Amino acid sequence: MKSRFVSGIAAGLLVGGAALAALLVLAQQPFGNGRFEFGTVKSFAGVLESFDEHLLLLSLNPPRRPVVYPGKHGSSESAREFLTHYVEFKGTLIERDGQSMIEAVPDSFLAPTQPVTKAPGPPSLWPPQYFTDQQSSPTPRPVAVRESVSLIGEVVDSKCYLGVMNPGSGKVHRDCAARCISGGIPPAFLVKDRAGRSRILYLVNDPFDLREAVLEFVGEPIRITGHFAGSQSFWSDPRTWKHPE
Amino acid sequence: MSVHYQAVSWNPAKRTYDLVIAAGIAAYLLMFILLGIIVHPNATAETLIIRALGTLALLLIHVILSIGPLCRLDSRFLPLLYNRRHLGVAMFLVAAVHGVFSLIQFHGFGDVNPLVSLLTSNTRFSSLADFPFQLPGFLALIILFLMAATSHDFWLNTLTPRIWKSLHMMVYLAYALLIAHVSLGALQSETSPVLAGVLAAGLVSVTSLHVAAAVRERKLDVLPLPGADFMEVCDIAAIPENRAKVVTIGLERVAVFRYGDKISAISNVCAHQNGPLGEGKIIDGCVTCPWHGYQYLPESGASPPPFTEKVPSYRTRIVDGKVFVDPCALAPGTPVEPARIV
Repeated sequence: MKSRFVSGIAAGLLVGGAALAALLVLAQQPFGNGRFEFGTVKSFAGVLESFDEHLLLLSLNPPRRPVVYPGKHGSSESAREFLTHYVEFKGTLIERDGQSMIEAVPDSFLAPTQPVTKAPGPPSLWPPQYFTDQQSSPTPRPVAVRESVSLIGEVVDSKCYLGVMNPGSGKVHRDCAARCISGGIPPAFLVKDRAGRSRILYLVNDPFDLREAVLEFVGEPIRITGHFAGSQSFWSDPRTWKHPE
Repeated sequence: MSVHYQAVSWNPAKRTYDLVIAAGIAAYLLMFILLGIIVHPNATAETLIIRALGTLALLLIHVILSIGPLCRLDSRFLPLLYNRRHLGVAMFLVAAVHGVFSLIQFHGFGDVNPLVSLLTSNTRFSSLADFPFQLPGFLALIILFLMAATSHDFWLNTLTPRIWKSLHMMVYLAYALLIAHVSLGALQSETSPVLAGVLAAGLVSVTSLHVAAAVRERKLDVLPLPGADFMEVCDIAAIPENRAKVVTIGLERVAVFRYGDKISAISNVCAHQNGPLGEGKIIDGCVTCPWHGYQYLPESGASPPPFTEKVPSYRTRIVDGKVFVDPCALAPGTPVEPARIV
């Protein structure tokens, strides 16, 4: 009698546990479209350039992509030796909603040619253009590159957000984002337009290194003020950042 | 019953218990991860594994904490109590894998030691919204490790039952830390009320079961009157043959056993692991603890030779078909003449 009772309890726990697992899976909020082609190593080529201390870019027109190293590391001195060179190297693509990044294989850089005398980089990280401001006005309007605007969003580490981790934002991911940014992954500002589409803007403040300053604000809603420095980057002074009321 | 190290031995009942635990863990993880891959194809494998293990550990600690009060409310649950230690160790292992995966995922491969990162990445202790939620989980894992590491009888005997029991009562602190870990972390990132509802339901269930068990036992309490020597505890008919009725006299649990035409009373707390002697029965003339089979003579509370365990004994009387117990406990192992049923 007691044995049958206990068997019933055990069976109930097994079935109930599986049902609870299903419920918890279904109740989770949707995951973003981030993609990390883990295990797929491809060849990349272009001119390597730098903006700020932490942002290493590979330019090949188009597109222009940040280059980072494995783990929570932005780049290393070995890669910086190739700045302004046309380089070929191996890496893995990270991509989300049209924005992408390359995780380079360390020590795979080759520079078959002489340095490029005129790098296509600064002062604009991405080709100078107008950015359509959809955050602060009901009707999208072109915003001049140097016009001051305020944005509300969240500081994320660009590598995880674009796909290495999913989710790569929010409170649960905050410590990882802090570690990544501290290790040299470019900090970015996650914003949504009025249609609810998310995108990141790389945070820059050349020559000031933003990494230490942004750590205090990682993973929480904040309002920042500054100006667009190209279509995928935003110049801002962290001393002006505030938590929205 | 010695202080020497003894290898853990498995009997068929324990094997069945462990197989059910393993099957349950496997079923949960498979359901969570496979369904997760289907419903959330963009989720990374590490995220699904971390979430599956974390939610499973939380489910298991709810089951573990519910077993005790359920057994006090309904003796049919007692077989679940028999091997609860294995369930506890399994729960720790699941939580530990969750913790290690999370440590690697969120703090590994960086510019500082992962443990240093865990303790220093977020120090906003004054803010509830920004509180470093991983720390409560880490502290809970340390407590669960101490409990799992000392779950063997060797540690029970080495630490003494009082210290061992105090250590293992810290499971309630670990539970509170885990609730804080989830409430200040995952629940702040997720938007579905289902997740908060499930956690609240678990918390309410565990609390309600403990309150219900306490209320039920309080009804059995017998408060000694000042100056009274013997307290009436029950009718003779209320005690099944070779079984006991457990009463609380003052702050002490007393197991009143009936065997043949005799009535004897000893402490309800086993000297081995504080098991409930009153929920056991008399086998071969000895009160036998339902947890691990430790035995005591009902008329003295002493284990039969060559064993040396002893529990306090109590004087008993029978008047007009009612059993009376002297509320003053005698020294452990003190022989007492049983009351005779005429």
